[in-house]
Amino acid sequence: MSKLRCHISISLDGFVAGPNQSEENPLGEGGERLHDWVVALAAWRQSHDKQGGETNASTRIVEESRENVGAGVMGRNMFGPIGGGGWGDEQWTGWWGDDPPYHYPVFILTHHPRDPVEMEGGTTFHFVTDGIESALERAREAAGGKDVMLWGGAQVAQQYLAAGLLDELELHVVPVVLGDGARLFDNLGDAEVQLEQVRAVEAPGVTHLKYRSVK
Amino acid sequence: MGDVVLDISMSLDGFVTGPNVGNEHPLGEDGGRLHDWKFDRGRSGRLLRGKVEQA
Repeated sequence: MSKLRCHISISLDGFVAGPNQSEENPLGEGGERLHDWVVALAAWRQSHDKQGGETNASTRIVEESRENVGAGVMGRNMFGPIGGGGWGDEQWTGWWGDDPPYHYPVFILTHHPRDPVEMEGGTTFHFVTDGIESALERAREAAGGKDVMLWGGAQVAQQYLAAGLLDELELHVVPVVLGDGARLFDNLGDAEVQLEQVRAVEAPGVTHLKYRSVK
Repeated sequence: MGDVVLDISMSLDGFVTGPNVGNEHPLGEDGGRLHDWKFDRGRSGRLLRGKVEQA
């Protein structure tokens, strides 16, 4: 069965991005610190055309997050540019250059229609305007039996959580207190979110907590 | 010199009690679930979703 998985870095006080996201600070003020643990890894650096890096207990977590994934879902705010709105001259193709580190179809939730954009390396961005169920359905179909990775950000993750559509949640908990920004567990309404702990892994600068959704 | 240590149970969404703390619910509504782990009677990974005391 194809799962919908979300693996996301989160501050101790529950934020997945800092306040005041902008072109200079796509993850908000202080938000970059949420990813310090991963950008230090050789496993991450290799997939982002960077040299060097270390190998530690987080390496296996990053490898695991890439296994058996056939498509992705992402919110417009994460895809960018900051501020949203119409696509203008359609020059914006994400933050990740010509060869984004996905290598599978990624479905972007947006209010503004746009034709698919084919990038190098197997990544194609599709733009979905009719809601989270539709995006998931299309991603599942594209994944051909593999899992679908929910890349975030907070708003989209909240919507899938509240709708009970998320199967697996992995939190990379970073010992940083951001104080403000985008909270993951917010706007859940009356949804009954029931999670069961699968495992916990301690690593330098981060603790990886994996949960499965109890349905 | 001794360290000052805070050792506390917290929900995934950052609450250390549920909502409406009072004599009837000293840990807030449903807040007792935060301590199930100590008594081996529950599962972890809970969201309290109260809006009262945020850690």
